Amino acid sequence: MSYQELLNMITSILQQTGIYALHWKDAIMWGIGLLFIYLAIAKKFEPLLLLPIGFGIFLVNFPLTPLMGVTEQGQRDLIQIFYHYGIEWEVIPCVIFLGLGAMTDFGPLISNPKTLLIGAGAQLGVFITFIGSILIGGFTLQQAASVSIIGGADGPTTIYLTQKLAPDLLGPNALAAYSYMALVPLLQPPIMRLLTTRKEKMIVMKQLRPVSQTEKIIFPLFAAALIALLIPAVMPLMGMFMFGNIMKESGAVGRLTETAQGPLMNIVTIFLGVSVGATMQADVFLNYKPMMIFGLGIVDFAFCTAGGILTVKLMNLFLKPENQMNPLIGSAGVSAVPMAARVSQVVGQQYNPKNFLLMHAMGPNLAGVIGTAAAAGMFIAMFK
Amino acid sequence: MSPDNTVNWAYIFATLSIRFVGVFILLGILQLGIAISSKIIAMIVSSKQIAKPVLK
Repeated sequence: MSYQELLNMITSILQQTGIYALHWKDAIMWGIGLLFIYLAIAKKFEPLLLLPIGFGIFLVNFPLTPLMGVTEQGQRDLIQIFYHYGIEWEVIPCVIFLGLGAMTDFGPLISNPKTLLIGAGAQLGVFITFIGSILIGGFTLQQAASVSIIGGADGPTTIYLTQKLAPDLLGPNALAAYSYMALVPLLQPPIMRLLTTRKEKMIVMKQLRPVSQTEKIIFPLFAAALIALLIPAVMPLMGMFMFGNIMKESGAVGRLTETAQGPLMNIVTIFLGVSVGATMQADVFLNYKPMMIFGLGIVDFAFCTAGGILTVKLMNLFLKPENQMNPLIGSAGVSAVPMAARVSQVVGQQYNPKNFLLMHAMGPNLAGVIGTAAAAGMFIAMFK
Repeated sequence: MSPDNTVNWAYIFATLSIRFVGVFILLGILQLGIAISSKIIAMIVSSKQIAKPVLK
């Protein structure tokens, strides 16, 4: 073998390794992936999602790895299979809603149904950001709708809507939604303090009445029928949500409920996280649009939080003194169940340690899930 | 960056406003439904309690 042949062989071997194809952009993406892994492990920020997402980002940004590609023969790589059947086919967000329904107790909402309106008020940011995304971000109408839903802080709904209207933005939108959900305890309290007076923060709400099993069984049936009639576009999500809930409340199918809220939920969460992370390839992510989405997302989230709080303040003008609501529960009108409700509790107790707002805040929190899904359904109806 | 010139802003604002109100209407109807069904259930439960014979 001549020296030239040996050199060619070594070059050929090197070209088959990832080292030869490395790019500086890959290193930036590793950094982002590692940051998410750090936040999940060290800071415990939404670890069930941020860890798989972070690892997905880390994995796919190594060159030549057969993870997210499709061969010329149409054969899909491993994570591409999860992504194609789970997210492109819109299966995973709906299955997650099934699990969420099986975990949810609508008792606080049924006990104080006027908190449903707070969930509607908290969609203010969604509609404002929609306009902003077109004017400032230069997004198309479909893209703007998918970006604006981030403020609802509902991951599965964001993924569902984005996949329907602007699949090219799926990675950044999902990442922004889950990041802001994880950052609820940091982002919401300053807005809550700013928009409420000391007197309002001290309001102690009337104890919630106990809710019977019959009421809890009727609720998912009624809600499903109403949503199906008014916003049919969002029934894959809401139908599964209410199905999961009636399984739980019926008490008749314990095994199914346990599976939906436990193993099934965990399995789809793994595939969802890795698939979303894997969409964040350097070429897609490192341009102005994802940065714009993160910027618009935080404004959106702030407006949604403010919308919930202001709705409570507005409602208080019409309520008798004994029925007044603490505006701090308004911030829970963004979805992010149950973290946003916990934030209401924590901030409330800073001003009145004897005030327990958690269960009161669960009402708007669950209303926020329905409200965000309703807003998403309306966008689908408009632009699909 | 300028917004898409083909966007009909009057239509967008009108439909968005209506749809935002629509979210309130949806959740408002749900609220009414819950309130009414709770009242009916409470009436049924209380009438059953009244109808129950008192054993001495």
